[in-house]
Order: sequence, then C-alpha cells, then structure tokens
Amino acid sequence: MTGAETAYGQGGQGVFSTIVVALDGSGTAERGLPLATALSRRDGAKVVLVHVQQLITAAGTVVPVQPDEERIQAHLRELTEGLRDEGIEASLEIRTMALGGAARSIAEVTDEVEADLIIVGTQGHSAMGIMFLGSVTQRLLQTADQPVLVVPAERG
Amino acid sequence: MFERILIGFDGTPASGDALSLGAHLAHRTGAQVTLAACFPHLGPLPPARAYILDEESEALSRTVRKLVPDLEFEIAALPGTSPSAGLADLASERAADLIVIGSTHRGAIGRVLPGSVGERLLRTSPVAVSVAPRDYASHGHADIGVIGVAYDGSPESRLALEKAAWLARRTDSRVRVISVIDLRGRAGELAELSKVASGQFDAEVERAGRSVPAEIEHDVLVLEGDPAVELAARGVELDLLLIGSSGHGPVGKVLLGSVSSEIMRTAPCPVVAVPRLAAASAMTREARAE
Repeated sequence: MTGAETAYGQGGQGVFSTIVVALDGSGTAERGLPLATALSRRDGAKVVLVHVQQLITAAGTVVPVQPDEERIQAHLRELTEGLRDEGIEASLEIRTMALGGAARSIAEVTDEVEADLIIVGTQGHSAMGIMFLGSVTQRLLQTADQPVLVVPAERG
Repeated sequence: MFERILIGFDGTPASGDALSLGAHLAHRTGAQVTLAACFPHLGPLPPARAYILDEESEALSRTVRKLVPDLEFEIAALPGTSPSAGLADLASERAADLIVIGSTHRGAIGRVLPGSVGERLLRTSPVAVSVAPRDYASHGHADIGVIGVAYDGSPESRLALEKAAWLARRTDSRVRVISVIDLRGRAGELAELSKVASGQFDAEVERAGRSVPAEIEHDVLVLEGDPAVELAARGVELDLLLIGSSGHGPVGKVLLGSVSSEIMRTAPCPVVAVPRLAAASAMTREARAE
C-alpha cells in the first residue's frame, strides 16, 4: 500500500473534509455543485464556494470586469443558502483578484480553509468565465497542492 | 490622420489603460472608435456555440459603457491566439489609422495581451501603434497640452512631425520637436567631424521646426546623449510622444529600432509609433504570414 492510499479515508473518516468549488457565475462552473454536494454528504465535508471578482480601471473609474457582477454575487449567495437548506455546511468566499491572478486567489482560499479538494469547470460563458475557467483551471492544475477535479462543459 | 482609432480590449487592467488613452484621443480629435474585443483563450467555436462570442462581446461592451459612458464605439470580436495579427487585419478592414494597446510589460496581470503580442504588433502593424503607459487608466482624462516628436531627419520622423502638427491643431496643443544627437564614445578627430555633423543636424532640426505651420505653437529642443534616455526623461513634460519607425524594415510597417523600442518601454507618457506609409491590406496579409 502506498503512502498516498493510506492518506485518504482511514479510521472511518471520509476522504474529503473541506471542498472548494470555484464559481464564476456561469452554468458550466455550477456543473460541479451536484458533485460537491454528493461528496459532502458522503464524507460529511464542508463546502466552500469561491468566487473571484476582477476589477478594471479606465478613465479614473473602477468597475467589475463582469458587468453582471452584482447579480452573480446575489446568485452565489442564494446557492450557498440553498446548500445550507439541504443540511450542508456551506459558506461563500468572494475575493477581488490581486496580482498573481484568479488561480492564486483560489489557492489562497483553499489553504485558508484547509480544503483537500478543489472542484472547477473547464470553460464558462461570461467574459470573466472564458479567462477564469480556461487559463485559471490550467494554472490550478499546475500549481495547486490539493487534488483538482475538473468538470467538463456541456457539449453541443 | 487619426480618423478611426482601434482599441485592443480584453478586460485586463492593461487594456483599461488602452481604453483610457484611446477614448481620450477620440474625445479630443473627434475620431471614431472601434473596440476590438480580444478573446485569446477562445479557440474556434462550433456553430452551435458561436453565440458565445456575441455574449462575450456584449458583456465587454456593457463594461466599457460603465467605464466611459460618453464614448461612442462599435465593437468587433477577435477570437484566437494571435491578437496582433487580428488587430492588424481589423485595422485594415475598418480603415483605422491608429491601434491603441496596453503596456507590454505588466507581468502576470497583462497576460491576455502579453508583451510578445505588443512587440509583434509594433513590428508588423501597417498603421500607427500607441502603447498606453502602465496605470494610465487611474489618472482620468488628463488634458493634451504638449505633443512631443522624436525627430532625427528620417522620412519616418518627418511623417511623425506631420501627424503631431495635425494632432496639435485638433487638440489645441503645442508641438515640441526633440532631437537627440548621440556623440557618446567619440574622441579626437572623430569628435571634430561629429561637431560638423552636429551642426548640419541642428540646421536640419531647425528646418523641421520651421515646417510646422506658424499658427501651431511649437519649440525645438536639441539634446546630446543617449536618445532613449533623453527622450524618456523629456517624456514627463509631454502628454504624448510621436516617434517614427526605424525605416530599415519593409515599407509600410512600424518597425522599431532599438532606440524606439526602448522609449516605448520606458517613456512616462503615451507613445505613438508611426509607420512609413499608410495602411495597405496587402502588407497586413504579409505581416500575418510572418
């Protein structure tokens, strides 16, 4: 038996204790939620939804890059409440992207909440999503210390 | 001269700098604006998912309208991994005469329009290219008061001077003709010869100054030293600096020499690099093929 195999699911504990789900407001990203919910139920894991908003400045004005940012955040709060209503210990972390990009922001949250799994999509539909779920997922796969579970976009 | 401005925009902070500069120039000159919505991470889409491009463009349009509410613009989506070729093609297609992009040196943040894209565009663009300095977006709309021209007597620098005069008339600004003679490392007889050359150079620069229409306020500055360093140092007094291409590349493309390239990286003011001839679609295709 290898060290990696002994690290998970021993002594009657679940495999995962805290699961991070990276969301950008797109449907594709949310395809990971049922999986997170199922794993949470199986293992008794906490679920932390993570959203990274990006700001842009032009002509002295600062706004979110994603024009629907307010709506997205409201939607994510509803999703979090919905998970809680289902008996899952869920929370929402919204960060503003700093130097180093969204992948670093997600990794920071993952470390802070001591998560042992990151669930992320492959490609979103929003302006943020294309950047977020394309390059950011790649970056997470290269740099994250925790396992990364990538949920594919719907085909067709 | 600058009737339509093409702004490369992808939602990154560097593209916010480009939007600020492009919008500022458009407001001051009355130029029309095409916003090139760049999606370098978006590969070829199957027809069933082609709507994504429209949605992405619309989302960026809404963001731009929030940032610069009084800017009128058309939007063109540029998917694909070669924004430089896409911008050059689009400039020809829309008859734009200036492409504005963000700073080429922004580290991780500027990754969507990375340095290599800016450098390639500066080498191959058939029209003038301007790079907005880092954090230009934070300053709001500064006025255009002094337009500098880096003048070395080449045909490209004469064209830059013509464009500066045009801009000065449109924006009610003054023109500063700046020439830097590089005598570093020269001694003895060579220095004597250099002084003769320097005198001829001064005369040429004076002629250039006289070529600016009298109604446009202007002055002439002749300096000695490292041209890149001197021009960058003078940049703090300028609101815009126009430079010619090196002239050694294919006609009609902006081809920066080492001096111009250095100024682009270090100048504290926005820099416009002017190509030798007006845009030509054949040249754009050639640039794309490189």
